[in-house]
Order: sequence, then C-alpha cells, then structure tokens
Amino acid sequence: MPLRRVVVTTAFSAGNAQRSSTARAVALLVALASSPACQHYQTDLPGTLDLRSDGAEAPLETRPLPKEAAREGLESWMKGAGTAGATTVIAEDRAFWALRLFPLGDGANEEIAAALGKDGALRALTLHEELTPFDAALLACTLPIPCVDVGTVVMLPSFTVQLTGTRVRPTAVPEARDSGTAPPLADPPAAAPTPALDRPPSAGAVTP
Amino acid sequence: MNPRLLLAATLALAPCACFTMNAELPGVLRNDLTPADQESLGTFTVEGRHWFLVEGLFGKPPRDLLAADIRAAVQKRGGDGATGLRYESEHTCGDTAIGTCTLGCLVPRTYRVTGTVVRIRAPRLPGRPAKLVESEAIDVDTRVAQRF
Repeated sequence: MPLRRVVVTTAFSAGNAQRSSTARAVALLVALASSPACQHYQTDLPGTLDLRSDGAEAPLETRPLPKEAAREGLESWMKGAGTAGATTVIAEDRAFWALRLFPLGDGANEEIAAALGKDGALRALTLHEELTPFDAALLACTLPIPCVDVGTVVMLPSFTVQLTGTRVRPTAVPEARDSGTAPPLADPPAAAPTPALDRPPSAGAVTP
Repeated sequence: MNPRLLLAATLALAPCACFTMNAELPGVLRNDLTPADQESLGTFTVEGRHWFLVEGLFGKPPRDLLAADIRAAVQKRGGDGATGLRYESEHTCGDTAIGTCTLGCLVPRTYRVTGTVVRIRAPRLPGRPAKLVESEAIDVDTRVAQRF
C-alpha cells in the first residue's frame, strides 16, 4: 500500500533518524494496520454439494425469486445486492472490516439460502470475490469528506462476494437410468408353483 | 497537475486493487436432502493460495482453484458430495508479511473450503458425473504456473 510505504519511509528514512523510538513504534503499528491485514472473509454454504451429477440435464427452475430477497438503495450499498434473478441467480454480499482485521458482516449464508429456496438446487456454481469498482469508488468518494473520512479509513475498502448459479428442480433420475455406478440387480427368485386349491397334491396323484 | 492532488488521488485509489477471484464449485448444491439421506465420512479441508501482483491488480486465479481439490477430497474418501461447507478467504500472517516485505508487488491471498464428505442415499439429478478427477492430481501451484 502506498500509505504503508509512506509511513514506513517516514519512520525509517535518514532525515527522521533522530525521532524517538516511540514514534517509530507508533509508525510501525500504523503501517501494520494499513497493510493488507487479514481481511478474513468467511461464509457458510447451506445445502449439500452433490458431486454425482453436474445437473446439466435437470429441468430449469423458471419461477422468479421473491422480491424481498433483493436489496435496493442504501441497504444494497451496505450489505450487497442480495439475491436476484429467476433461472440464473446471483447472491451478493458485501464484506466490511474494522481496520481490515475484524469482520463486520455475517457472510453470504442468508443470500445463498434465498437463492437455493426451501427445496431447490443450484448448478454451474461460481464463487466470485472481488474489490469491485463500486467498492473502490465508495472509498475514493468518501475519503475527501470531513468527518466521514475517519469511518472510511477504519472500515473501507469493502469486498464484494457473489455466488452465481443456475436454479434447477431437484427431480431425480429414474431408477432405470441411475445404473451407472450401482451393481446390476440379481434376477428375482422364481415363484413357486401355486398348488390347486380344490385338489391338494398327493403322492399317488396322476397328472393327466 | 497539482502534485498534492496527484498524491491524494494515488493514496485514495491505490488500496483499491482488485484481488479478483472466480472459482467454480463442482456438482450441484442441493437443499432438498435431509440428514437421513446422507452418511458422514469425515471432514476435509481444501486450501489454495494465490499470488497476486501489484496490490492484487494482476494475476487472476484459475477457475478450478477449489473445484479440483474438492473433487479429489471427496473422491479420496469415497463419498458422493460434501455438506456443512464453509468458505474462507484471507491474507494470512505469512501473506501479509510477504505483501509488506515486497511493498505490495507480490500479495498472496489464501482461500479455504472446509466441510464434511458424505455419501448420499437420495437419487442423483440428471447430468454428467462431476466427481471424476484426473488420474494424476495436479497441485494448485502447477495449475497456476500452467495458466501463466
């Protein structure tokens, strides 16, 4: 980071060699705080990842998601755009940290669960993480504003995390087509001949 | 141009590097399975570190950064899928140290997926199998090198 570079250079350059060790320690602390730091993002993925199939032939889910799943306005700026789409859905979460060390969000679990639905499935999943132009613009635009700049330095830049997928109906393969890995079934045992009801078999009976 | 303005703009925009990551996840994420449909076979952790250049502006990770290793982990335990997945990404202490020492020229970021390998009893969805892996496993560094 250039900010880090500036601080480190200020602390250790020849012109500042006479400064006290306390000032150096503070400068180092600031340098560490402004370094990439952790920016630790963590989210749970609901559901089960089934690797037996890529779901390419599963019927598509065309019903749109509920509108409540998407976010708009200021909430969208702060928490990400939520979940939007009908067949191809994007679940978006925005992550913030305090001093780039302590995560302030709760992950994208809620957004992904909304994309999945109660009994749904998603195929062609792509996890996307990026410091987007919006995140950069948020930082660049709020930094020159007095009073707001403190919050900007403490909480930004943010990251945007997206999970993209295609909604499918979890309709199972018919058993006859699901024999790719399962062993073939054995022949059923032959049925015993049904004895005649009116004439129980006897040892001396003669068959016509 | 005013040098102060230039410096301010540089300071403002420099931390805005991208660190763009696109990672595919294999298979289908299903929410219709009950605990009775799954048999746990143990936990797994898949970790990939990617080296970004110039504060994360260059060097996108390969799209199978996590997928190939997830497939391999599930296949290794003889499972059909994974549940209880947790995705994490961070600059670890080592990553931060490298980034600081190289003044941002080389900044690694670590990606991690943990979960539980399960055998699934419910019927599979129609489609091609997603858990086949190559006969020879290729580690992340090799894949990144091949991509570059």
